[in-house]
Amino acid sequence: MKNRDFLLGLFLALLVSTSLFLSSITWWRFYGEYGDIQAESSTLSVVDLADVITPDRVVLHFGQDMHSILYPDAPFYAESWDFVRMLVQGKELIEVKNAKFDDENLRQKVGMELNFPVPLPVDFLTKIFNMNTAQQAIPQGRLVNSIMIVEDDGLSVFFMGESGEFYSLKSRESSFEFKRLLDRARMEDLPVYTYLPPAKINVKLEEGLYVPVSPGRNELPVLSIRHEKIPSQSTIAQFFPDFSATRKIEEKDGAVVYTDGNRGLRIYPSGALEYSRPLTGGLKAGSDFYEALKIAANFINTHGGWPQDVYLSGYKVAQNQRTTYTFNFNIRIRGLPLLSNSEYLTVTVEENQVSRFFRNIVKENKVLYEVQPISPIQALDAAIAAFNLKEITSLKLSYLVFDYEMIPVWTVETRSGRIFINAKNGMAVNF
Amino acid sequence: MKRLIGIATLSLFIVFLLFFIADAKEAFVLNRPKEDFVTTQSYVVVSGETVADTSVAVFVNGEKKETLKVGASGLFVTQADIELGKNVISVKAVFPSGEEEVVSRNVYRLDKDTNLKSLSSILQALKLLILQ
Repeated sequence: MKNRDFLLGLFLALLVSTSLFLSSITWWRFYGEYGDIQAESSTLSVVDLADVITPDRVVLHFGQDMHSILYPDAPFYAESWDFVRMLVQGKELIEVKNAKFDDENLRQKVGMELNFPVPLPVDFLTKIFNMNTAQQAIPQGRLVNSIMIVEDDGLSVFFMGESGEFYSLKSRESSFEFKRLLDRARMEDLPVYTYLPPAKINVKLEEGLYVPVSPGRNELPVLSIRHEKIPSQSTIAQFFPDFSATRKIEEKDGAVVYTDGNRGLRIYPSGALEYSRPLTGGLKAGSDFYEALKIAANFINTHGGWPQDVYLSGYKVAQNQRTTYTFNFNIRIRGLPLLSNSEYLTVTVEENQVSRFFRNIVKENKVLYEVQPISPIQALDAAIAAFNLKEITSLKLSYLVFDYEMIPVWTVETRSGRIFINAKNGMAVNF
Repeated sequence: MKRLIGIATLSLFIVFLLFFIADAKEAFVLNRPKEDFVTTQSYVVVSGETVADTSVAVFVNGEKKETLKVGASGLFVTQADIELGKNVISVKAVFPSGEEEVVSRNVYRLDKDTNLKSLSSILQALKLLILQ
């Protein structure tokens, strides 16, 4: 009898522990998935616009023709960007007139260069960096491509304009912190690059090139893709002032449309969102670039969360009866821009309101295999040999969505379009 | 009149000839190293541009270090080890036509502890003194 009770007790304990084990596995899996979603698109308390316009790359100039390139996923990238923001904060920016900027020469000095993914208005940058522009007004609409910092008995900071003009900090800054930053970066044994100036003999290459002289960028993975999850009911409700007044329409293609008679939200089967809100007239005061981008970024943040590694990649400003800003945001994968035929995140702002919003975020899923990218010169050789190119605007390492995979490519830009060279083997990608 | 036309044609021919000769000289540019480049590194980067399919040989103090074939872009980059003190880097380009061109640069390698800025200025001052 006792034996029987003992066996039954043991059996019960086994059943309970099995149940606990299985439920813990389920919860652990669920938490993993949920945790991923939270980490990828978390709603921030406020979006810092400086995080929206992060440079495509930071080039460190060590002098003696030694350079290093920091992509956004690299150590010291965030530190360098923060350093520049702190450096220019509260400082006065002035336009330097009647002077030619010898950037080829300055690149050989100790310094740093930050290249924005898209030219940005000077007045917008001065707002972002909390700079002082009280003394000299810089004409609106001027665009800046990059920031260059040169160490020469103190730090000189230049904002490089799109058409060759440039702006500088009125005062020369102390280089103590900058030297410390460079020294620490030097200790990290970063890949060393040399600079090739714009070419003109065999091909006209408009931009200079940084070419690795030590083993260049580490291996890059080829990745599979996944889309963002279909938004939850609470996210959908964010698009309407009174969600109870909306109608839900299911379409034949699997898309679901929500509308309250004025605003419309279409959710595609892939999880992509398209929202539109026609303006009802009655012109309100228009916003400037800074305000419009702030509205766009906050809208993204409160309607599905701010996706990781998203940055401002382009914009259009249309001026008719009212000023319309259309902002395009792109995604970075392993610090490199992800290119494809489709848009990822677009927000149109009119009269301080979002009139159109499109969100189709893709993410890396699994590493399929890794490739060692060919050098930029090999990529150029391949592109020129395959397409008989005579003029090239720029050459950049990027990711491309191709055959449901993200593959590392060299993007060759010409005046007539873009060519993609597979970074694995130098073959042109038929895109 | 005929004589004038003849002279004009001949002048034009000479101008074109000079232009092509000048253009051929431009077919090889050595970007790095610069003349009198001073470094504390044990190597220098040798880079430049030329026409496609040119063969480029790099010599350090007369000793051949490397030969490379230039691709369709015409760009080339390599590096060459250097010794402490003065080094003469010579780069010889053999064009597809068989013509050759050699460009040489003086490069100075210093101890890591040496203050580069002051030495650079001493070097500049010495150069000025010699030129005067």
